Amino acid sequence: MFEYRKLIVCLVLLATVVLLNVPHFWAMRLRSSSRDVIAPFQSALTLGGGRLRESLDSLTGARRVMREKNRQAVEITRLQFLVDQYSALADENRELRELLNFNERMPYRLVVGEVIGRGDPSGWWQMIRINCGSDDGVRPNLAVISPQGLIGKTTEVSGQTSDVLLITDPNCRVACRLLRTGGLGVVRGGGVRPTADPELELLYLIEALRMDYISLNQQLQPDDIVVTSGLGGIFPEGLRVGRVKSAGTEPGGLYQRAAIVPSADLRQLRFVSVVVPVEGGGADNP
Amino acid sequence: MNLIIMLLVSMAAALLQMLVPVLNWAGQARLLVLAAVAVYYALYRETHVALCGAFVAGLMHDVLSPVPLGYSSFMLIILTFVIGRVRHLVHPDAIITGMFFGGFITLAFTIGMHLLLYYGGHARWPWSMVWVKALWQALLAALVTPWVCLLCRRLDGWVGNVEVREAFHA
Repeated sequence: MFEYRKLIVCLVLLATVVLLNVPHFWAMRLRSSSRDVIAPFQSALTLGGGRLRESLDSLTGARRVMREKNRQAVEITRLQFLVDQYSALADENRELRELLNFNERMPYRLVVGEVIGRGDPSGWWQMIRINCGSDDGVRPNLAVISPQGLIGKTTEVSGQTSDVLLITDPNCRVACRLLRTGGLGVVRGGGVRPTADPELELLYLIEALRMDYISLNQQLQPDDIVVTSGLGGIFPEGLRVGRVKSAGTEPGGLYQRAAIVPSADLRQLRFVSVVVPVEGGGADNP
Repeated sequence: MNLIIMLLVSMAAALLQMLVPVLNWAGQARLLVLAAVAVYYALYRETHVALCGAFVAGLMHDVLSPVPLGYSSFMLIILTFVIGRVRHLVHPDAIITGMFFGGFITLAFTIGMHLLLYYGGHARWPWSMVWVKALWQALLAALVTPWVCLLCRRLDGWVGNVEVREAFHA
């Protein structure tokens, strides 16, 4: 019996060493299959909780729902007006591109997913998990958006789920452009960062987005709109990222730096869309 | 039966861990239910079962998060060894024991994980923030671990992995 126990201890230690050195391909396979097994339960629990909350809300918030419905009707009218305008512009743009012999822009399709998990289980990264994966054509490093703007990018994708690294995570960097001035820069998440006030660190740790490497020539103003520039190779051009909150010169004095408020409310996400490039498109857009 | 219960408990703990929201204002602190499961196995079960429990809990933690495979198992196995060396000195049924070891293992796990992630180039947090996160996670774990131990012990009693009388007198 003693030998049997020692054997199990040795096997567990050996398995740990193997696990630490498992090749990337097999690690991804293991992660993918485990996530697909967990996904239905995670989805059911998250959606069940959401439905329960909705039911409670519907008991108390009929008036609020009516107000929201009216607001959305106005919003739909406004958006329809914009769509009509954009259709005319798109026709004009196509004609001009034909005249100049430009290639067609790479077309995209949107894969809609529902958020089934918030935050990664370890708590080191700012992520969400959505219920669409490689079965729907999603793959790593694709932009994820909500109606308000850019949310982040896909990282690990299994058959039925995808992890999305939020733009507020310091590991997520987006090549961006200021809409008014055309100035370029790189937006990254502030993440958790010490501030000058040591007491404040204990109370509030999440910084807004930060836009680095803005030329000193750019005249930044509060509420300037920031959109993706399309230069990074992952995010298509023109996706709304946020607006400028404040700006200043970097400590080195070579560039400007701006604090950015994200357009999308990342705490309230429920449905998001993955921007999937359609194969066989033209080549003038990454 | 031990392994089946271990897998089921770890899966349920992982689901619960993912369901409970992150405390963004507390350094993205998470309720680490899987660490509490490892504490249960370390405190109540024989060494070889405890190590298997730590391995399975760590594996579940890693496959569901972007943490490289094996990091959590490695940390939890070391901490299980540590608890195994001192558990004869404490009364395992006391609530304070579960609270203390829940807090301790979570604190050490968080700091150790950041060391591994930092030197592996996966996550680089300022150390002040890591301490804030670790302390909050330890506090949360201290509150939850006694209940996780009680539930796991009763479950093991029901299925016959431990003596039923022992399980229900917990």
